[in-house]
Amino acid sequence: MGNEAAFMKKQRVIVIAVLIIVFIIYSIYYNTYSPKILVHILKSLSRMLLGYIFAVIFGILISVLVGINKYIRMACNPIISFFMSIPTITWVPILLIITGITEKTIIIAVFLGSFFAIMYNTLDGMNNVDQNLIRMGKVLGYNNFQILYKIVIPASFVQILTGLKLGIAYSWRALVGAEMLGATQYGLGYLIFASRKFYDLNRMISTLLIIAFFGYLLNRLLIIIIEENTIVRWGLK
Amino acid sequence: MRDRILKVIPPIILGLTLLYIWQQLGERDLINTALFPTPKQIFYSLLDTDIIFKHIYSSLLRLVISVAIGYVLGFTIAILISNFKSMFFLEDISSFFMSIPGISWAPLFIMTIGFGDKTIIAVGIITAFFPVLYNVLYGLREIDKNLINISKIIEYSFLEELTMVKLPAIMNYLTIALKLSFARTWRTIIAVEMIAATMYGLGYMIFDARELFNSSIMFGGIFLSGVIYYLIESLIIKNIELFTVVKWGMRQHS
Repeated sequence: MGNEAAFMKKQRVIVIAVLIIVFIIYSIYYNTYSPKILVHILKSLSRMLLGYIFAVIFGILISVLVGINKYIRMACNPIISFFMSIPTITWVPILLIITGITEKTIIIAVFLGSFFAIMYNTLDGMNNVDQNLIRMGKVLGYNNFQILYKIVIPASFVQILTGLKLGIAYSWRALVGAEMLGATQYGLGYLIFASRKFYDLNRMISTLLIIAFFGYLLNRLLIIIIEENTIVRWGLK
Repeated sequence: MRDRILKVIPPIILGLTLLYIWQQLGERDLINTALFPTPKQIFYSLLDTDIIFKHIYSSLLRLVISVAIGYVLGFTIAILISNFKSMFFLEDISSFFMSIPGISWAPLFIMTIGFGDKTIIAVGIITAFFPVLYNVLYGLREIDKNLINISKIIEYSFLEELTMVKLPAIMNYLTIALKLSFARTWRTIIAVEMIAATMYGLGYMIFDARELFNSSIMFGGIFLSGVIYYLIESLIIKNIELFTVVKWGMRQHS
């Protein structure tokens, strides 16, 4: 059984490798603008990184601040889940009016895309902490801050990580959508939208493959690396 | 009972307080009401829009059609992959394509199909398809092997095995797939409507309001798209879950 699983895994890797090679050949063959593609990719990734980092910092910080009190936490939960069910792209037109067609629009869209997912999951994790652990903390004479820092956050870490994972996926989606509507010069979303105007099907498909590749990379490899180094190592999964 | 009251009251108080603060800020000219209209203005502008139901209806219609087609397609292909071992590569290819945001298919379809409903539904089908495929495959892999063995012993045919053994066993994953595909397709359809719709649709309404600088309609559209999805999830999907997986004891009701 184990042998078969290993065999399947090997085949999997081969399939993915073949896919990636095909896509690289394809995009090199059809991209006559090849050096510029790097600029597009870097620009997109940097926007995504900036928005995502802001979302992580603010999401975790605010939910920790809110989560100190049980009632405020309960009050925030449905409101956050309502904001989460708003499609991120609907913010883009209003952001275009408020901030103009600038980098800020895209970064804020990415931020909004992942912020609520991160905050929702962090709050959810803090709600579901084993009450006995908190009682034990009180017995040991911890104050509220120590309970939060030493018990609640480590205990809800799996949920926080789920939020971070969701955040990456959402912000990647938001990035491509926002770039289509709001970017002026660079970005993968812009590239795919601009090639429609020039009726350049090959360039469009190769950009699609690049988007798929980076989405795959961000969703899978990054998350697997983070997961293996934290919760898998701690035996939580 | 007390728990339920505690669950409902604080969010309402917090929400109303925030809305009140926003209203007051707008009325006292502390924020620019041309950019950030007050909740009252948003509400009245939504009431004034005559074709608001037409917008909502056409968005919902597209959503339902594309989820239905995508669900059936995803389910069929998942069954195919799980039954024929030689099809395993399809799973990898699909997990690769799953990471393409739905909206980036839109320019391709606009170019090949043209503007309008067909493009939006095509993109919707693609977005609905992948989560279903993925979840059903995962569910089929997690089925207790003994159940399959028993069904072989009583010599069920392929169809009987599917309907009597496999389908009930993966019901949990089927509902998750439904939820995910609804969520993703709703997002994508609103997005695609912005660039590909010609007449109606919530996304079209929001994007059209941008050209007229009508920010209260835009905020109203944001609000509506959240509320509609919230209703879909809490009325339809939750009830489906209640009558199947929760009733059968496969999952705890949250």
